[in-house]
Amino acid sequence: MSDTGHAHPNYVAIWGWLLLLLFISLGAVYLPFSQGVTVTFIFIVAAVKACIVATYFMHLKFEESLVRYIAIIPVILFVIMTLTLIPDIGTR
Amino acid sequence: MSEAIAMTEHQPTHEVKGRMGMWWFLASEIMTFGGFIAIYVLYRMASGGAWSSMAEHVSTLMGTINTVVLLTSSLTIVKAYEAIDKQDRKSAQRFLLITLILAFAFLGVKAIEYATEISNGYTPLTGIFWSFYFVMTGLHGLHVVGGIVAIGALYIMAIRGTLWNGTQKRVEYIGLYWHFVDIVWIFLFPLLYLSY
Repeated sequence: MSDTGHAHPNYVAIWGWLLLLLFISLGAVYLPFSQGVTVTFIFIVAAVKACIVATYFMHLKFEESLVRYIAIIPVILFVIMTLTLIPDIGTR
Repeated sequence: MSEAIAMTEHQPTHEVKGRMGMWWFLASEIMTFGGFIAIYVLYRMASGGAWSSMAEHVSTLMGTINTVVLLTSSLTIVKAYEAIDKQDRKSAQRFLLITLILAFAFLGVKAIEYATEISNGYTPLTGIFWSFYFVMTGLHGLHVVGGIVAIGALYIMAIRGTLWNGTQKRVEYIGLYWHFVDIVWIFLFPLLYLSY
């Protein structure tokens, strides 16, 4: 056991999953779906990749809830900021 | 809050401050890059086919190579952290060096991309897509340079043997920063290279 107080997950396996997701998003570009569907899918995959990096490489899984709040609140603020700006497109 | 107090009881105060400080900094970084990404998405949604015709000139191959390079560097820096945790100095030193090499490789690929694009006439003044492209990848590139300086300093400390006297936690803090640089690229890649 280490002096960090938490176990280390299998980082190589996590890296393998990240590469797999990268190639899934690359392959999605060539599928016969509309651009909207493809782009949505690609960004869902990107969000999953980001969550995997934050959870395992950045150890959010093992962190105290205070650190998780510090990480998650700006993400929520970013989503709100983007959504509140979208109606601006309609007024152009 | 009680968990925060409990945390300080089990860990030295400077370790809690170091990690908290880095997370706080990264939270502000989310808003910095988030601002660019939000405005990029809005411009992209508001413009039509003209955007796609500009965006299709980026090299998806180069972007993919750099994504693999950054994802791998995230693996190697977390392996350095794991090695330090297990008191394996040699492995930690080796993984820090590999991370450093991968960071330089990322910049090298990006430099080739920039040179190719500029020689083909695509500059920040060519159009709105290219303005976003150069500003966002440029800001991200500056973060990579910052990471190189920090990881380079850790590596020098490791080979001098000064990293092990209570300062080895810095590998964890710089690792958090480096993973964040990776996460930013995880979003920039589909934004700039895949959504034409």
